[in-house]
Amino acid sequence: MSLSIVWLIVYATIDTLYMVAISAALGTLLGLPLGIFLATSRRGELFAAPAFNRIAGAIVNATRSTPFIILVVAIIPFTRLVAGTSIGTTAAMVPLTIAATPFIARIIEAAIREVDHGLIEAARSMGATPLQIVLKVLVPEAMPAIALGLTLAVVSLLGYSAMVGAVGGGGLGDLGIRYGYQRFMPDVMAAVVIVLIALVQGVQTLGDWLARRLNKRAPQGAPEFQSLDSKEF
Amino acid sequence: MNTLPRSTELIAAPLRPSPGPEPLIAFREVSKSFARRGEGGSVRALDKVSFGVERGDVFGIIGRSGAGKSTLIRLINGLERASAGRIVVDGHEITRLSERALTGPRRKIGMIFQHFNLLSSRTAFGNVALPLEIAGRSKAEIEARVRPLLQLVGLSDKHDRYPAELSGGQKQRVGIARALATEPTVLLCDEATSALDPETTASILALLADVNRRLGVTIVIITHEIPVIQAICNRVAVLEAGRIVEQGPVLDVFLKPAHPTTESFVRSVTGLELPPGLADAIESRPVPGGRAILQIVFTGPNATTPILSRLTTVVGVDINILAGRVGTIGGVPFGALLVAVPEDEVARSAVLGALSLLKQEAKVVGYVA
Repeated sequence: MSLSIVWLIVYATIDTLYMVAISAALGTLLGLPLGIFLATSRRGELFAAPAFNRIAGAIVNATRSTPFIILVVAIIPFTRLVAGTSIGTTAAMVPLTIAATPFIARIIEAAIREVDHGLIEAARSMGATPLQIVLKVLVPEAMPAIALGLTLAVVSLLGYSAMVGAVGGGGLGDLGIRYGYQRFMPDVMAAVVIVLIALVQGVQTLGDWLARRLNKRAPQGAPEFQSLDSKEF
Repeated sequence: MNTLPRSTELIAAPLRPSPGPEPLIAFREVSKSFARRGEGGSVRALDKVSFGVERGDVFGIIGRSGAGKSTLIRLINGLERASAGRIVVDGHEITRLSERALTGPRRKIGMIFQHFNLLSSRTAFGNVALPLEIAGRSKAEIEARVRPLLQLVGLSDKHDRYPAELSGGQKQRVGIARALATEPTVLLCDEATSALDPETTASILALLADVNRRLGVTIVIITHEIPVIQAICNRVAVLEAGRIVEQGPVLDVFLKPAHPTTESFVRSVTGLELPPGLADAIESRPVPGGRAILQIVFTGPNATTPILSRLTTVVGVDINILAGRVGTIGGVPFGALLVAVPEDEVARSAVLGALSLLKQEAKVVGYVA
């Protein structure tokens, strides 16, 4: 593998990290309030607005059920409006953010719903306003689950970011397709896959560590916290 | 300001019948129904409940599960809203306040819970600080308030511990400190000891009694455990299927239960059972040459005087103890005994007469051969 190819891989990795980091940050920024709203706006809840809850839920479901590659193509006019172009790394962040937001919102919603209802009752008995309950009770208590959920979201975004390569998005996926596949360079393809695996491992390890740090429910060090997928059942 | 109406008012005031002092917590004909899911209609959880809690009371509400206790205590701070009736707490008409308007009164009504409901993400200190943060107090104020509170509940060395690192009793102590943070006039206890072992229960009850005595906080306790009422309450109400079937001073209710539910609750405290052989042999008419069985109940200072030996010396009859219980109810010593005395008219009336002179309650339960 020539030196220039190694540099290509380095730049592609930076591109990928850039795309994923920005879209994960924007997705969290948008997904956090949306998730909180979804978790607290059903009938009888803190910010009860059942009609809006159903509408928001429907939009989230619609976005989540659209295959990502179709979403990328479908929103090209919107991407061009926001980013000024529909090709390149910056442009790719638009569909990535749009895919990440509802995903993160659902994760936040699930994490907040897991918070013991007794805590909401206790906070109400102290005279807390609904906003205080969200900021001082629900979000802090859900933090370990939110950290694990966001880890999952970042890992998914790494996968999505490889797909935007197909429409000129740049990054590792783009490199893999143009060099590994179209120019038939299996060593580049292998390097791309190895870097992606390493990235996913790194993100997951970091997320697990963070969730453990945030989780005060078990004595420090014990593997007490259940991950999101085992909690579904 | 014009003074004329004021002075007229002053003159007129004594002429109006002065209303008695309002109890701190007043329930008037309060009902609560829940909509039944799916099938329509509603379930009535509380039915025209009326009672008053005076300042300084430790008021117990006892009932079996499903009697409506949890609903009742949640009506006091508006966590549940009444369907009908009127609730006044310390001058605030809870039943007329909106959720937003309730935040003020709620800061003066502390609450502790069966499962503690502490934030797992905050230390003991952070949990006690929470209601103060919610009330918008400054950092310095919070610091100055939380430390003495943790000391009061005996956790001055546990500031930085997370709830997961504390025992059940310690968690409830944090809960109590948290409930007292905003200097409430009322403390609501929602089955606060039901998740604790008997020894820890006793220590938490002692702490609550201390809080009541030293800080003058009025306490309302709901429980299904009669020992809780016995240990610290001065007044009790018995809840059965959404209605209060009996209420009054604890000693009266315990010693003279009027309702079968109350009777079954207090039996474990004051109830006496005849030894198995005697229970079958008991008759309602005197048996010549047999014995009369008397039930004697001592309360107050007399409970500690040696009544039986005095009876024996004064009246000169042999007294045989069949069953007995001694203890305290709401801090008042009491004793209950089943005794047998020789069945002859003279001896029996002498015993009963002597007992009534000593101001003890006694009645003939039956006769045996």
